[in-house]
Amino acid sequence: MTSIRRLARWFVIALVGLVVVWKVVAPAPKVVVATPPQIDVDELEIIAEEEVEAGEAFIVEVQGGAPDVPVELVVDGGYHGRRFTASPEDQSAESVTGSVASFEVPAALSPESGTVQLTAIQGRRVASGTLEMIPGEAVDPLNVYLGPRTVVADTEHFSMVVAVPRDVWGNPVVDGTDVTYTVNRPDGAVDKEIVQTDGLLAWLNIFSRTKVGRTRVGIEVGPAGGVEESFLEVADIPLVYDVEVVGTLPLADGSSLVTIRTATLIDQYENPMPDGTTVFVDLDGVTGRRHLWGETIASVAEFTFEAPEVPGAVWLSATASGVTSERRRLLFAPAVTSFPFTTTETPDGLRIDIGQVRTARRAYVADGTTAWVEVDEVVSPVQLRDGLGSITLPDAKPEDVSVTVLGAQGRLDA
Amino acid sequence: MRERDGMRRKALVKLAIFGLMVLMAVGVVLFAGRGLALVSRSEETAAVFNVAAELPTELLGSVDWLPDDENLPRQMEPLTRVDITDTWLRSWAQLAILAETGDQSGLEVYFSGSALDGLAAGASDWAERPAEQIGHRLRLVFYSEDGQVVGLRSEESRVLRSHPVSGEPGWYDAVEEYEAIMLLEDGNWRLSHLVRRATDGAWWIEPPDPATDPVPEQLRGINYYPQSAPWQRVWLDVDPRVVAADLDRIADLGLDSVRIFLPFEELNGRWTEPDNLAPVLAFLDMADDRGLGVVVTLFDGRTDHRVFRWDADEDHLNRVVPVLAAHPALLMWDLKNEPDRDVGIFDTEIDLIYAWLGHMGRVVRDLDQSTPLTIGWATPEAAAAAPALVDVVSFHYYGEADELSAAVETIRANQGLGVPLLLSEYGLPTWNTIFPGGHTEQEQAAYYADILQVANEVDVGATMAWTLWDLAEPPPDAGSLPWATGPQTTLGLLHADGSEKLAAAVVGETDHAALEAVARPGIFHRFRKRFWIVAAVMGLGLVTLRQVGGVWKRRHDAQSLEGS
Repeated sequence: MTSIRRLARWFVIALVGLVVVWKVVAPAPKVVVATPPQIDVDELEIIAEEEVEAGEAFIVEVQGGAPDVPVELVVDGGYHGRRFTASPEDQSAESVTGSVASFEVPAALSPESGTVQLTAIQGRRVASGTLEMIPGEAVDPLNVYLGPRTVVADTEHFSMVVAVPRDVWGNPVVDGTDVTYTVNRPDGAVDKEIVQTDGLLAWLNIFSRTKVGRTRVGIEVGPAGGVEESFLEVADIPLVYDVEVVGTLPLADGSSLVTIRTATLIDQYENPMPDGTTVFVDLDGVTGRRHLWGETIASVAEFTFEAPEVPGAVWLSATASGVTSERRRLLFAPAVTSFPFTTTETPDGLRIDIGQVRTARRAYVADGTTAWVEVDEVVSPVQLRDGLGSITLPDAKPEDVSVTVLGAQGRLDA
Repeated sequence: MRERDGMRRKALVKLAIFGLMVLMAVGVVLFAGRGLALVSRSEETAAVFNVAAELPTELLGSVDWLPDDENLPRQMEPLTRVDITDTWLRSWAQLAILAETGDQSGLEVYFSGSALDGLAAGASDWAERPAEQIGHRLRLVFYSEDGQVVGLRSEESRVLRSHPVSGEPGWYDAVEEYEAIMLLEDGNWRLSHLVRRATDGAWWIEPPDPATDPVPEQLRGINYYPQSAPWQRVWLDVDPRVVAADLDRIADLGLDSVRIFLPFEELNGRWTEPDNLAPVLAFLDMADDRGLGVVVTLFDGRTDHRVFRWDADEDHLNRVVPVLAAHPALLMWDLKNEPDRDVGIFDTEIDLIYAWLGHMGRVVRDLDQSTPLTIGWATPEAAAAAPALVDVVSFHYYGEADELSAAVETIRANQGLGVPLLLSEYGLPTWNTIFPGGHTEQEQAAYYADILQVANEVDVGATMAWTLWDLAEPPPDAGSLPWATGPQTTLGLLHADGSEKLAAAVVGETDHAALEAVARPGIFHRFRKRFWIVAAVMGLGLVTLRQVGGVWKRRHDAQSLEGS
């Protein structure tokens, strides 16, 4: 019997344990017990002026509250809110007399303009109201934003000048404020234009005229001014222009330098192109094709290249800002018209002596000039020095030899 | 005997030590997990980079652009508009950060000029009254030719401004207008001027205007999910033939209304399209054909009520409410199912949930002035504690039937005697297993009869049972323990095979005498449950085992003595 009782005891303990475990692991319902939050939005009334100038102190009264109970007022501008409390014991600017709380909101460091929200709270009574904070007069320096900084002087392009006049507190001035734009042109002319602010700012498109130079823009709002801003008026694309050879055109000697330059590049209003304007020159002829790159200085671009080794025509044209000059033909005359050469039979073969080779102007051709010796379609180069050169070719016959220097054919002297 | 006691004590001590070690091991694992979570979250990101850089993606959709001003000097490039949108949102986010942390260092990232000066001067004030952006409607009014200056007008900035009342959390749900100038400085847009042009709004617990339609005072309804596609899958896997058959059965049960749920995410959240709502409209059509009214529960599964998600919620309402509002079957909007259970999710307090409900309630009322609004509080206590934001106070009740009248009294005491009440969920599971706490079908039927009787007695004429079917699966948040999931799937009036439970004959009954006549289980009825049967069998088994063991031991001892 004892063991049965003991077993029954253990059984009960196990059962209680099971119930306890069940209570622990079973999910307990979340219960939110509270009284409903309540507010009263009808009793309090906020009395304040409709408009106040920024930086001015103003009075706000809160009426309809419980008598002699503190009232809190939040004055919330766009950038921040300030809190004031009026209580019956207060003898200061904020006070409660009966059911009227009075607040004197002092001028603050940053009284932002626009709609100010007033919120009064007394216990569970709340009220909202607004007043308009009016910005003051514009002060120095006016904020001016100008762009673009460079425009073409063709009366069609323009730069925009945006002004954001602000009062002493940094507030944009009221819409409709006159902003005077003074525009000083490169030719000394002065224009004035008045624009009214709208949406916190004023803006003006200043169109270019026909003379290049710096145009300066000043902004004024009453006695307040802004930092002078400026933009450059620059020349439009150039008119069609010529390219000319500087000095005498050298012979086709392969070593002389040829200098060419553009005419002065000007636009339709005779404004010179600014320094650094890129000009390309394309050459095409006996030298093959070449592409030269340069920039203008004083509206002129100058290029230098080597004279060709063979006589003939070279065509050239220049391109600046998309405008291409007329194609010009340069005719390079032969540097050598005729020269002698002799042949001598030697044990090593046929020796060929070239020269003297002189130019049409009776000067020696430049040292290093190449003479081309052709025998049975085999061409061998010979470097000339003092107009002379020599080569020995085995198995060559005198009547099969031809020699060419700078495009001129040599003559065989007996 | 003494030796045996000693051994037993040793065994108990060993068991206790083992249990202690298990507890310690669990503790170590939990502690390590928490530590790992902290490390992986890393505060360094916030310290090194500006916190506003981590703008929640959901907030990025909270700016709506109105048509640009006609006199724009220059059209804005799409990428620049993205930049401007981003800066506008991050500027406001920076103000929230300023309020939360008091750290001004991020201000100069998004503000310059007067705005920066003004904000820096009043930085300490923000900490007392933080403001969080909800959404904005912006119009471009100026864009300079050189792309350096932008003028904006925010024709509607919805901002939740904190205003503690009587030392407790409170908010002003503000709608404000602004003019602003942004400058492109060193490649970044910054707000240089921000001027408020108007402000209006409502306090967080100010109720919307009452519905113009009368509140249904007598309802005998049921909560509905298809048996095989419950919870979040309801409108994704819905079969119209199944729904039609279910609605026929609901009508056959003598019911007049159905409560359904619109899962937020599954209906595409802020981008809900008409296609997403097509099955819901089809359901309403079918309900209307059978003379059933429908209570539509919004935001199902939406448990995160942080302010940056509110704009997405508004967009959802803007896309759902106008489509369904005019439907003749629509009885009532249930703004949220059991919002009190969302407390603590992302550290959200109940006060902010009230603010969310107030805000969304006003949005619904703007979109639909006629349909009554309710909120399905999970408990009578929550319904009693809630601010008066709705036309009908709705609550769920799964407690003892005889305590319902006290619960209703509590609600009326707090919400007013004349407030219309809706018992939008009640029920009893027929989960009856070896675990304790199970119920039989007879108990369920009796519970229904008791609840309906008490509801009649306390003039709660509108009731909706939970639910039509024994569902195929528990709700996603039920966990995995059998005593948590089991009851959730056996609350139906119909078995999964379609057969009716006893309560099916009770749920549509309105006659007091008939309800009175429903058979109540006797005092010994509970011992017919599986738990008690198993417990009794186990007890008997143990006793028998002990007895057999005793006999065997005595024989063994006797044999040992004889042997010696």
